[in-house]
Amino acid sequence: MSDQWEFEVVDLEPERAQVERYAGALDAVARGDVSDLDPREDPEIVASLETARWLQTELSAIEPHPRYVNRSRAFLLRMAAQRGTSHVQEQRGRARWWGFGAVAGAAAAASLVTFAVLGVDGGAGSAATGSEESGATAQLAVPAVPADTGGEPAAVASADGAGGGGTVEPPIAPPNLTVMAIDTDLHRIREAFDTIAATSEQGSPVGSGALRILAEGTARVARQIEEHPGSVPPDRVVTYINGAADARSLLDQVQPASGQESALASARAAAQDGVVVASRYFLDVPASDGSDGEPPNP
Amino acid sequence: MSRTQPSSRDPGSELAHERALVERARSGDAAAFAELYDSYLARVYRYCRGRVGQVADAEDLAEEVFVKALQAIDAFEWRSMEGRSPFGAWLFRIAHNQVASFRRRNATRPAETEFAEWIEDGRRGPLELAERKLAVEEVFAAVRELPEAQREVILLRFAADLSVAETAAALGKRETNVKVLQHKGIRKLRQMLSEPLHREERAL
Repeated sequence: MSDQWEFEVVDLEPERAQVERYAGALDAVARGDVSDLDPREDPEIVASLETARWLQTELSAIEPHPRYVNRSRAFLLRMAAQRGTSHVQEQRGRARWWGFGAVAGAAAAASLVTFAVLGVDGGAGSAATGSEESGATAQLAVPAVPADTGGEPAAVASADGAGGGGTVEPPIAPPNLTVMAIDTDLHRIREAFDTIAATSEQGSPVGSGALRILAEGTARVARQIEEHPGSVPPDRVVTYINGAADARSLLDQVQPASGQESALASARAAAQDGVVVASRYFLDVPASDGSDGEPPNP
Repeated sequence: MSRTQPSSRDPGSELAHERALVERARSGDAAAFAELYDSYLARVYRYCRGRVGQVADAEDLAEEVFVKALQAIDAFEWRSMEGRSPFGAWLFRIAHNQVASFRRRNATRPAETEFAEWIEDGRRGPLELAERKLAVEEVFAAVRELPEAQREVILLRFAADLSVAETAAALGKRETNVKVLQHKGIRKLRQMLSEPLHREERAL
């Protein structure tokens, strides 16, 4: 695996076509496609495919001894559990934020501005709901409501109503409106993410606006997934979990503007919690807080 | 090339599921890490087994790989690989490094082979077990005769069940190089296995 070896390998230009054909044939077999190679026309490749099949069959039959697996697994689980102790402490701290007290408080001052910009009353009429729309939207220079929903009040109202988090269940929105609301939030999350990434790439500190939009959108979708998993299509959850995980990685690297540390912490917590909540969706594990969420119906 | 983890999900959902597991494991969720372990152990073990020969060494190495992964999982960054698993590539990069480290530590130890493979599962009779053992001997004996770079690629592709892209990421090579090494390795194995005398010698 020396550099010399690498050079030798890439210098095998005459064989390149056959190498590519063989790799393609292997991929096709791996996908379960029926090979259309003719042994008379491609004896070399067909024979190599047979060798590869033999190799794979023999190797895949080798399993570690069950006693070893049990012992090793138990050891690693203990290690993982010990390592997880500190993370559990962090999660407990975040649980307070997850109750939306902190987010609602931080964004409350912006709610009137948001309502004016959006031109809607929040549908469900919840003060907390209104407060989740960040007044930082203007700072971001992105549309308050994405063009693809055209600021449709029903979509916003649906998201807010479903995400109220109160003990009183809001009226059930038609599924299409729920999905539209989720798409709106996913769009906002994406825009906030891009803004943060661009700012960070320039070496500039990240302001609270994009961070709050990211935190609030992420938390709102997570709440929808957690409380009404049956209303969220799997592909949206896939998009969401990828976005939340990307956000988590990005936020680990950014510097907040002076005095905006709490906004960054909230965004990080939202991204982290979003990943956890969405992962439950795929694992078919019911919410641990005893909420009355429907079972996922992917 | 079936994956160890059976799943009826489409590849995108499967990757999203794995990503969720990784994120949960990063957050200290031991059960999530256990699921990743269950999903990858056999493949990591087979790779190690093919690289170091001895069962006991392979077991120790496989465990070390997961210990290292657990210790380093906070630093792991999920980067999309067009439908492939960046976690798998990362895990086997650790395995590759652990094997290299093991070989450095044991450079003076004579190369040994051990064919006492654990294939007893209560479903196979003695004859079938003996045949399986011979087959395992044959395949490892053949793979061991490959040049180092080809052996590495062949084991990652067919023992660890990695894709070309994942293998390239695990080894820090270009995909083109992996394809070339794969092609040469398989061709050489085919030649070896088609030589009856050679085959009998290995079986002895």
